[in-house]
Amino acid sequence: MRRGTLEYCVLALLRDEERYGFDLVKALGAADGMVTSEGTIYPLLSRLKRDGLVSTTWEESPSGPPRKYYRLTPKGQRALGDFVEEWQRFRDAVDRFVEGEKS
Amino acid sequence: MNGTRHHDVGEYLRRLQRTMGDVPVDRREEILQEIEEHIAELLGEYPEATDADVRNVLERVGDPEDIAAEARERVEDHSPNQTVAVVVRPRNSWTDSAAIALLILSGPLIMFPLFRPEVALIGWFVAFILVWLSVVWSTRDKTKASLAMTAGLLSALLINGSGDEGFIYFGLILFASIWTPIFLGLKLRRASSAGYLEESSISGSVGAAPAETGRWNTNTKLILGCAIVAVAVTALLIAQSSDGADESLTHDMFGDDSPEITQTQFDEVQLGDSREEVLSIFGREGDSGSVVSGSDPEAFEEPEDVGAQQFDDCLTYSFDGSAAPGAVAVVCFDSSDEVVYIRGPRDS
Repeated sequence: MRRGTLEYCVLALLRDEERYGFDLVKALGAADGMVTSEGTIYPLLSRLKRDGLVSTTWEESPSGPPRKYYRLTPKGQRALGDFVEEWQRFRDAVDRFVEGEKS
Repeated sequence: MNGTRHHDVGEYLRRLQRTMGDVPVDRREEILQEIEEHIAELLGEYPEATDADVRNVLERVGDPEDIAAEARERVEDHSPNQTVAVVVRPRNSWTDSAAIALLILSGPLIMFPLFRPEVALIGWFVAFILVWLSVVWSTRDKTKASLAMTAGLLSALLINGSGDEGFIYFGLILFASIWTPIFLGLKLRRASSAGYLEESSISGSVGAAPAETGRWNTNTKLILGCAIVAVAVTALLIAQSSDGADESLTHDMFGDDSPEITQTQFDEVQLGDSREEVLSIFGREGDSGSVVSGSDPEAFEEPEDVGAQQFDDCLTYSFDGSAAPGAVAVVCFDSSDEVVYIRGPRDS
């Protein structure tokens, strides 16, 4: 279940602001059961970049080396929009079954 | 732990690099670098990190095998629509549509068993197997369809030797070849819409083409296409059957398929004989039909004195080996069943 939806969670985290990798992982880790191995986020980010859904920029950090910031591309926004629409429909349908018929 | 890398961290990164050996180098280096920074950032929260702290941090980052697997899978996985494993109902596959398509296409062939019965039988047989292999239809639906198909197939086999009851067989064939595909098709559509949840489930690959959710999906189009082809084939077969009837009669009248008689038997027949007398001489009924003029000038020549004759019926026979090969006898009757015309081979 996590697989396949995780990348959309990443895209959703980037919807309003750009973030760097560590920040993303922390945000995902805050949700229970979303990420088991933090390291696996990076291959995922790498693919999102290759697919043109996110872009990266290097920015100076207040402390330490420069950080790689991820931001949503227009293509990423569209993909996220499509997903959200499908997800809501899917979630409602599943809810109907798992919560039982309410009269 | 400032400045220098902890021994365990170095080991961890080397292991990660090794396990990602089959990942393209630029991606591998990028991932390695980011994970190294991630570890450094995590360790930054421990000003005096102990060996146990480092181990904890590395555990949080995860097994190198898992990370490598993620990197590897994402590299290979270009295919869109890697669906989340939520199976609400089995998805219908193309073989289900193929089964219906075969049924539709075989229908007209079954209905005209004289022409291509073997093709139709193969088509129905394959469709039969595909239907039973399918996960879309329930056993009950499969049984219903199979009963109809079996009835249709048996009727197709029996209709040739049948008399008055032939129309029952024809009705059964008609029913089987029209009702079965419609029934299975409707059940398929219903199963597809029930399986909608699964089809529209979240695509695992970002940016994948949205799932085909329209009413006119590929399966529907395939079935509709086959229906159109089936109608065309039926029309063609009907057109051929009217042509073919004439052709086969001409062929039988002057071919080698007619019942054989001897020259001696032929010589006994006289003008004015009754039909019964002719049949008793020849011992059998010849092929019945009307004389086709000018069909074969070598074996059959229209005599001048019968040019205006009206024949009610003609019987044709082949001669046995005692006459010229391919020779044909024609005996024609008028409306009162009297022989008014006898014709043998010209050179007899």
